[in-house]
Amino acid sequence: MTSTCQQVQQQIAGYVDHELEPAQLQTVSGHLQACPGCAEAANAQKKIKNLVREKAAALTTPAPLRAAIRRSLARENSGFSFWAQVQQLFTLQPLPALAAVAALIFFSGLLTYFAFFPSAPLAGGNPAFVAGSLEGEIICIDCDLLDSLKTAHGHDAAHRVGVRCLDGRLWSILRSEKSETLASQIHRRVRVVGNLFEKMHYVEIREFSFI
Amino acid sequence: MARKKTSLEERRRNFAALAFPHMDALYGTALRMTRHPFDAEDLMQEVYLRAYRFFDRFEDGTNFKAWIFKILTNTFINRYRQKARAPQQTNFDKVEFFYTAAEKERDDKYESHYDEKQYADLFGDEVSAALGKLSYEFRAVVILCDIEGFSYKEISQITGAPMGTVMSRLSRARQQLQSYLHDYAQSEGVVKKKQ
Repeated sequence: MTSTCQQVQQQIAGYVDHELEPAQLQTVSGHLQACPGCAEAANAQKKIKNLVREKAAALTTPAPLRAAIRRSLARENSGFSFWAQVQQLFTLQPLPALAAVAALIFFSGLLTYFAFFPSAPLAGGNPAFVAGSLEGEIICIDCDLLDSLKTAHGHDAAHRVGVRCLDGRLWSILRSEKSETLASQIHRRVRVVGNLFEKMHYVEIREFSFI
Repeated sequence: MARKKTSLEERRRNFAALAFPHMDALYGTALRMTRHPFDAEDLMQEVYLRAYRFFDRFEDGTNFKAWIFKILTNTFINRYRQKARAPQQTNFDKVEFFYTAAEKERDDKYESHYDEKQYADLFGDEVSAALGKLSYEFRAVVILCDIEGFSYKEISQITGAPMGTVMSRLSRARQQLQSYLHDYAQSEGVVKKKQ
């Protein structure tokens, strides 16, 4: 085998598949005419190619696989449809979409702010509650209201405990273990210390003492 | 930037219209490459998912069949690369193929289910069994050229190998096939009987 033969052997496939450039084709076919060994190799390759083409069974995708592929594509569709739609929104309506994102960022920032500083003043506003103390009489707010209306009553729900201060203001007591204790002490005078939610007139009791 | 303003449903339909007609060809190639129905089915599902995800990158009017076969080839290589956990090899023609260990391990594992004989039955004849003996790079070019009828230019796009390499791989692959098939080829008249 000459070096030309070696070169030609590399190109036999191209010759068989009609993929050679005109110049290459000229060289190779010239050599094949002169060299019986290479000509036989080319002939054998042609036959091998045909054999593979003929004998390779045509394969059909199994029906379950076909179905599985369709299913996984459908899942894929629903799985990322949200992002695809967002993307589409940005393409079609970039300004409103940007405004929406800006609003989202602003409000989530606001939310985070209040999550971490629930009592923080917002631009000089009032705090939600202040620590303080109250002095007054323990009452049931419902009973007191009904009494003042001179209405017969015997409300069967538990008493709703509150404190009537000397200035006449009523404070509801946030339910806790301590407020349960006070529920059985209606009409006693008490001094409570805790957090005063002034807007709502609720008091969260930290401690109390009877006077 | 001219983006396609299509709805998801349209996108899915477009993809199905382009990709589903090639399913049998892809499956045949997947099965001949992996040489195992389980692996072929896994591979096919991944190929279709990836093709669908990257469908935006397919340029309208270009060769879809070559595009999706490229995805098949890349996915196949990635899988064997992961299985083999071997360092990346670039010169396939000069080194022992890195996936061989993984392939052998898999063959051993399933030996009870699929031995050589059954594999030959599965594909119908000795030719496909001989094809299965070729190394992956050689098998790929033979399948793509002789069974799927791709041109060298397309095979070059699909495998990422230069056209000259495609040609020399095909030459050598067919020589190997010829030696594997010697007895069979004699009976089929492909090679002359020695006197």
